[in-house]
Amino acid sequence: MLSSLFSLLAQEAPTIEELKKQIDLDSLVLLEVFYYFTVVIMWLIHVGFMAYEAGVSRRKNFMSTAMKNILTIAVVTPTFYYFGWYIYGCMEEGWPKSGHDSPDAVPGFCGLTAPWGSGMGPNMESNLTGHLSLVFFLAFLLFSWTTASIMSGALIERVRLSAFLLLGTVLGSVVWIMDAAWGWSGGGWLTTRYGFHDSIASLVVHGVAGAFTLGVLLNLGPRVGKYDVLGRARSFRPHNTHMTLMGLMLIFTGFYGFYAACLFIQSTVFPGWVNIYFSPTTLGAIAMCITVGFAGGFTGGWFASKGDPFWTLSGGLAGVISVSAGADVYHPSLAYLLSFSGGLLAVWVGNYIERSLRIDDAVGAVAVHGFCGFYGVFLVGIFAGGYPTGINNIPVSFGGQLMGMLAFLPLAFLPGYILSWILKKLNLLRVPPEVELEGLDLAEFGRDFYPEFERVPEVILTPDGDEVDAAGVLLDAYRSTNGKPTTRVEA
Amino acid sequence: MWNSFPYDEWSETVTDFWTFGGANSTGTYVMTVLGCILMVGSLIGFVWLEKQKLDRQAETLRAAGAFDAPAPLSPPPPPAA
Repeated sequence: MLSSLFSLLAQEAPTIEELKKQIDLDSLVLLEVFYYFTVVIMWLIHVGFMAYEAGVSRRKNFMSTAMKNILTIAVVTPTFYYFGWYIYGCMEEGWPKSGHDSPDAVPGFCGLTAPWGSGMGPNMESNLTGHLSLVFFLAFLLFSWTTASIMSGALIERVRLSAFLLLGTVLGSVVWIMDAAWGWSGGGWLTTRYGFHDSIASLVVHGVAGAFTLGVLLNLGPRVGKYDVLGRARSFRPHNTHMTLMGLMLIFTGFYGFYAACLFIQSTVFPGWVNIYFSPTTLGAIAMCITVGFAGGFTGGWFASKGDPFWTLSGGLAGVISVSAGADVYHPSLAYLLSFSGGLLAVWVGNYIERSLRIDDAVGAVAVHGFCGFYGVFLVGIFAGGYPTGINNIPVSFGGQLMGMLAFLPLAFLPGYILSWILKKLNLLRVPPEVELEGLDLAEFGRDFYPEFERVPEVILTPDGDEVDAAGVLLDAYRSTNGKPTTRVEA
Repeated sequence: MWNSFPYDEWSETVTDFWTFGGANSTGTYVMTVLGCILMVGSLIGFVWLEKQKLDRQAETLRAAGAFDAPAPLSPPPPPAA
């Protein structure tokens, strides 16, 4: 050991060039490690979604609900690898290509995103291709899983697992990543032309997933027994509220990784942290915004739902999503106020969707993610107008934000609606009503997953607030469908 | 012993082909195609296998009359005279 120390001391002092080279390397390693651990933290989002949705489901559908979240990883990962990432790298100018130049696109990035390209393998020759492009890929992949998981909760207890996986593939590996290329990249046409600003993905992840989900729900229809003959909503009892609340808290924890992964730092290229558009911000700013966003959202959700625990926690999520688009620039007090309004609105919109539109969204995903995602981008147009976005400093404007909303609404809604319509016509969208009544777990897995607990009669909450035995209600609803898969409201 | 195994003659060629020695090589294209086949095949498999399971279970439940409406009660027989 002593000889090693002497040999170190005997070395000549490094030159300026050697030090610079070392600093460059350290900077790249820091970035690679940073993204790697954001991915680790973001896994908690998927743990959370699984627990949240499985807890909301009835006991008879517990494992089939969880399996959707698990197999999301199995299908979205390869599809995102084989074509999703390429869409992000190569379609910033639009699809089909608009001919518009993207001066801010990272040079050569498109070529790195092909599955056979140098950016996708353990390439030791280049730090950009061999180190950074892979951890970027993984961070974006985790966002893709998130979009599919957002949809998954809304469809539970009647969608076929395979139908969900097909829909999740299109949402996670085509739709959301196309909108990210357009409006969540330095060279996207919405960024370079309109200064579109959605720094922590209110719309490009949450809003788009919500709009896609709405399209699917219109074809999928409500669960058997959800509405009475007058079209009034009944409520199914979650089989494990504790699991649901724990799942939501895990999602919130994972969101800190999600937020961090939306930023970028490389001290030798930029002076400090930058957002996805390469505009300056700080990690502290977004950490502050997310924390205050939860506080405001919980408060809004609690008041709007009169203390309902499910909607209080969902309000927290809604609050954060409402301020995510401007989280890199908002003052904490502004974020608190806006997230409070997001929490309030999510509850009201959720109730409107369920009771007036009679759309059975089992977890309120369309309201929390869809509505608040669009709302978040709308708020940036009001409160951050003029803020320079991107390398060429196109100012944020209300019109630019509106342009993004108008581009992304059909981009998300139409594929969801059309694909689910096709699956419905092929009788591949929804499980047979007999299976839905008996429970999906027995059909899919042949067993009950709580063998040590006695089965108690399933109960349902009537529109008048009475808790009654569900068997009679569900059988009446089933018989009114004449044994056919249905989207009728009164079924 | 291991070095005398004939595989040794080919190992470098095989490694060049199957591992990520260089991008845009024949090996990376072939692996991409094989991966895509598995990806598409698994999606079709998910649909097909689930359809079999669900159809079978629904048919069993229908055949058992598990959710049929109960037959209307027949009127009680008239009292014996």
